[in-house]
Amino acid sequence: MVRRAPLGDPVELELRGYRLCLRLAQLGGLRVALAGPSE
Amino acid sequence: MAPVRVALIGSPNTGKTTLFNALTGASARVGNYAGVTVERREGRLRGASRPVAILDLPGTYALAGETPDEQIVDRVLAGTLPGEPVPDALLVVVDATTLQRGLGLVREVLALGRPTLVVLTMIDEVKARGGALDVAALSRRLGVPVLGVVGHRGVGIEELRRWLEHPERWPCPRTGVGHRETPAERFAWVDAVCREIGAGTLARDWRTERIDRVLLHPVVGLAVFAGTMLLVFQAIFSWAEPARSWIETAVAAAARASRRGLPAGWVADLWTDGVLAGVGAVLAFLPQIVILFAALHVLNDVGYMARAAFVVDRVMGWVGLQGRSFLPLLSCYACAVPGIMAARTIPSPRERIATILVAPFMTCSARLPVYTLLIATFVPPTVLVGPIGLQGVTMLGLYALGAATALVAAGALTRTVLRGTVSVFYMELPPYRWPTARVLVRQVWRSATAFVRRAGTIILAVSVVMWVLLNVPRGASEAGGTPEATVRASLAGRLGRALEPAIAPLGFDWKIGVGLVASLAAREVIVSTLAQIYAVGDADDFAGLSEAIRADIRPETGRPVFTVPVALSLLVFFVFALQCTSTIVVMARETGSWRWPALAFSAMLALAWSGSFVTFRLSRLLWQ
Repeated sequence: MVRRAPLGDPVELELRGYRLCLRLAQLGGLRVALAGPSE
Repeated sequence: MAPVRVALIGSPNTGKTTLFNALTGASARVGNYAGVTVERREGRLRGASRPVAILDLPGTYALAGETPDEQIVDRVLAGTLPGEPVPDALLVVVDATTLQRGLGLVREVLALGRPTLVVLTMIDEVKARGGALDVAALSRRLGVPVLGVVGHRGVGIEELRRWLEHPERWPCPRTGVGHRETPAERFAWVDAVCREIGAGTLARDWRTERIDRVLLHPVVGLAVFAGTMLLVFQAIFSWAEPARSWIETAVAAAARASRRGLPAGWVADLWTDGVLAGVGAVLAFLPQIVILFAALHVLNDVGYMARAAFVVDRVMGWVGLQGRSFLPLLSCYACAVPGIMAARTIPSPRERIATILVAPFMTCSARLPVYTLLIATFVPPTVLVGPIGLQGVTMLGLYALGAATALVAAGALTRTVLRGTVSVFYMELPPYRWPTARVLVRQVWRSATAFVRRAGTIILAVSVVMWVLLNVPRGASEAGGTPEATVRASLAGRLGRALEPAIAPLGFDWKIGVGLVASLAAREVIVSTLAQIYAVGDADDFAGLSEAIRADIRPETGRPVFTVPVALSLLVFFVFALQCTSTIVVMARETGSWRWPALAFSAMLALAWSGSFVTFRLSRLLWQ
């Protein structure tokens, strides 16, 4: 996670070289899987 | 000779549209896909030896996506969209600085087995950030041609143009994976490709990170956001004023010249009061529209639009909207038509329709002449504190009432008629980039001409219809003598008198009723209609019109027609009512149904009537 928005929500994530915003409420439903070998 | 058709596919913020503009120039035709409100852009390849049609598909992160835009891409590629033939070849646009993400979409497109070419944009940024990209190795690995371009500088465009002239020579890849591949498998393939071609991690984009540290700071970020919005708001109102005055003067001069040149009669009246007045009413808003679109495009191209949505998302979330709803709503301060069109940037249909439905509550500039006339006439210029006076506070109160009502209405809609699963909010924060003047001018030109075409034709047509209603039967003018008698005997006058029982509880008489009927075309038309009824020569002569409406007496009671309670009641009616044909038509077009504008018109009319009724009754306790 890079940062939260100035009002606390949503949050900024760094993923595969780009920046993505998601709401906190949606993070709970997020499933993270490692797609390839870790570098 | 039928053109060969090439579809441009790519994620948002990859420079796909810049590339499309570089390839097609000004030849693009913009419309909607059949039956949906997703924008369709198609153009002819410039300078080609054979006709090549290029279709700029909506931005998508993956095939089989969830948003309407993503579903359109899927349906066009599958050939299941009516009237949309399957493209002959596919051109995938990938941002070279985010190759790890973009190659996932490339993999999906390659699996379709169609003639394919991959274009890498932003290759200059890769070099600037210390990266290296072996384009030839990537081409060999993918089995299709790969070209590097810098769209806004024209680098690589000529070579791409040569390839585009012969898409039948593009290879058809055979990956043998189809749609069954899981995202994990796809990204494992992407990582393997990146390793094989030596596409290492780029240096961090320190410029973007440094700017974001300021613009997304909990305190400074909010201040910058408020300042930016204030600047846009101020620009719409102040910077447009000289151009707006110039257009009004030019239209008035054209009307005077027409009066001198044409023989007196209905043709001259229709031309000057109907056609020229209608065109002038639209053109007068053009400077505001141009400034608004220029500001929106600059903010978007620089990368701040996504940040603004990120900053304000939480507040919008309280009423069931998204951060992306904020700027369309802000745009409505100029005019609801571009504001509603700007809601196309909201991917979720639920939030998009909610934004569109509440947009007309935002105080558009067409309300300003009405507010100015009534406030200047009935609110005393009492000084409250320093430069702040009662008239200014009243004006601010009307703006605040509109904005607050929009938010409350959005909350009510997303909890009732638009109740449903809250869509997943995701948005990319692109790197900051300098906008290109050429691209910006082209974007503003397209947006402004679309506004004039869509809104202008409707307002023009309804203005002519209103002129006919106000002036037919023609014999009434000679018989009655006064302009008021002419209007009273006209079709519009009869309509106003028929409406009188319904609007009398609000304090309105038949003349205000005529003004309300006329203002259904466009709100500001009530001012010119009242000027016509009260025989004030020029609708811009506020002082004369103000004096005339203050002096008007009801013959049956001997009391003034316009009092402070009547003025307040009329102001509240204008805050709430949806009196704008252009807005209604654009709303229908953008939602793909007349059901939503019908709901908005009815609900807003009921709210306007109730609000005016309560305002009139309460204010009578104070002023009578």
